[in-house]
Amino acid sequence: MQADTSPKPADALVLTGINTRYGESHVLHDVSLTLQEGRVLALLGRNGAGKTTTMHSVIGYQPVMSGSITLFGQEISALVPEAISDLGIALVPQGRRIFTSLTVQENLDVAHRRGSKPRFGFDTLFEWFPRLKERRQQRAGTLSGGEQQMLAIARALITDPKVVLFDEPSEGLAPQIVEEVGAILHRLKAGGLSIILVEQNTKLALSVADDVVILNSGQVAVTCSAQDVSNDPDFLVNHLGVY
Amino acid sequence: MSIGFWLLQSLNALALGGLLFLLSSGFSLIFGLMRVANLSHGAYFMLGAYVGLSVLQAGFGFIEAILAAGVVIAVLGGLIERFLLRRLANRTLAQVLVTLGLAFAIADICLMLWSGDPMQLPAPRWLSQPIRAFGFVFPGYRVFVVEVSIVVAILLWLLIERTKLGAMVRASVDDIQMARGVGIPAQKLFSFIFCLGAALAGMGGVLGGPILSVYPGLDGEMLPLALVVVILGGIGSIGGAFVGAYITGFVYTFGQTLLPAFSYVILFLPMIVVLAFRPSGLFGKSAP
Repeated sequence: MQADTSPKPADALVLTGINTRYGESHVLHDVSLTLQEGRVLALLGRNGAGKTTTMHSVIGYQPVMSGSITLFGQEISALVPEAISDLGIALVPQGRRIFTSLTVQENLDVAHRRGSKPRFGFDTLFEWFPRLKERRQQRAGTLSGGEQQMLAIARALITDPKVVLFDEPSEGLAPQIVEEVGAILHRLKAGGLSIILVEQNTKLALSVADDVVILNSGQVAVTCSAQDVSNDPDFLVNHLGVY
Repeated sequence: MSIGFWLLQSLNALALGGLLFLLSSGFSLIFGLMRVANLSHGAYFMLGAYVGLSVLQAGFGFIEAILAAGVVIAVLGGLIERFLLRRLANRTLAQVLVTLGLAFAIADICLMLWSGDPMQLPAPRWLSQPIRAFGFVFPGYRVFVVEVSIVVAILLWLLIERTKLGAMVRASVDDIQMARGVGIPAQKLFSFIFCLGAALAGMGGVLGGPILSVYPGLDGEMLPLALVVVILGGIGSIGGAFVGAYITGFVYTFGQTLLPAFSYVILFLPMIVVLAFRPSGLFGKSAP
């Protein structure tokens, strides 16, 4: 049976009751969520709610103390980040964190697996991000903030991920660049990628998300569809204190 | 003082700079990658010299002595990395104590095996012919040391700056967590760099043997020089190690010759000046 004719999409990423510490403090309490294949899940919540820690638990930066994380059924919670990356999870981190002393091209080369043909390869990415193509031989540290964000996205995609974690991709960017980020998210979704999106810009998040999970003090407060949120004008005020 | 004196001392400075580059390039990359200050690096240099000495005494040639020391010290470094340092990831104090303790242990073993007498490694005759140029006579072996260190520097620079492996090393120096997050096998890279750095230090010891001799305490003399080089040049940068090594070579050589009583002061002075104006070194990136 082909995926697109299947009535029920597969579970791409499933977190079940994960608990994670950050230093001395217990940040995540029994967090469970399910990202289905080809869908976008918006992970919302106030500052300090545990959104970034959740992302870092998935990619292996902040190993879980208990609970399970599966990628298409395979347990990954005990793996190191490079192994998790190999299995098909990529992070577009908060603050972009591109390799500043490498050139644009090298930033992509180090993330590309020898012999792999990513769904979104070099040609596609340079077509999407012509500025990066122009600046291929330039040191990445000299790029503008928007260009660095595009590079961080391209670097994640060149690892040929099945699931991409976006942590605040619109943070600190000019409005037209934010729009561009939104357009890319739509394109990736249309291309069949499964995405978790952490975003303060709820308008951007809801424009692309299918599902919504709201974290509050390290616990899942709400799990619903993006439609539910859009239908209820008081929803965000009630759950996030966003006006 | 004649022009000949200045030229000869400059050659000595260049030779010392070359040896310091072999010692500190690995030290710098090791620290840059995993923030491990490998305080046994000076001991690798000394042990390399002793291993080379034994190989020479066994009747082998100088090149064989250099290669043997490189292999022995690389294997030793690999074992230390695999079985000790890997268990101490992110524990700076434990790493400092273990590598310093290893330095003492290696020094004692050397004392046991090779006695406490200073020994000079004989430079091969084919390398020690005096070289006549511009009406002066230069010791051929020092010229050879300078040449070797420059060739190694170029090869190392090509490896780090021009290959994908090197780009992965630089990416890990920039942000090791992010590097692992995009699939760069940082642990394997570190093992490789650790062995390479150890091998370079060991080979540097043999190469330096005919000039510096080898004696108990050589390790303790070389280690601070490597620290000065890395602090001057900046952490994790081959170019920085290169420039830092030659500056240190010149300052130390001329300091010892002209103002022997102040040679250590003169050595640490440029380091303090650089730190005051560029805290991350001449070629270093801003603090991580």
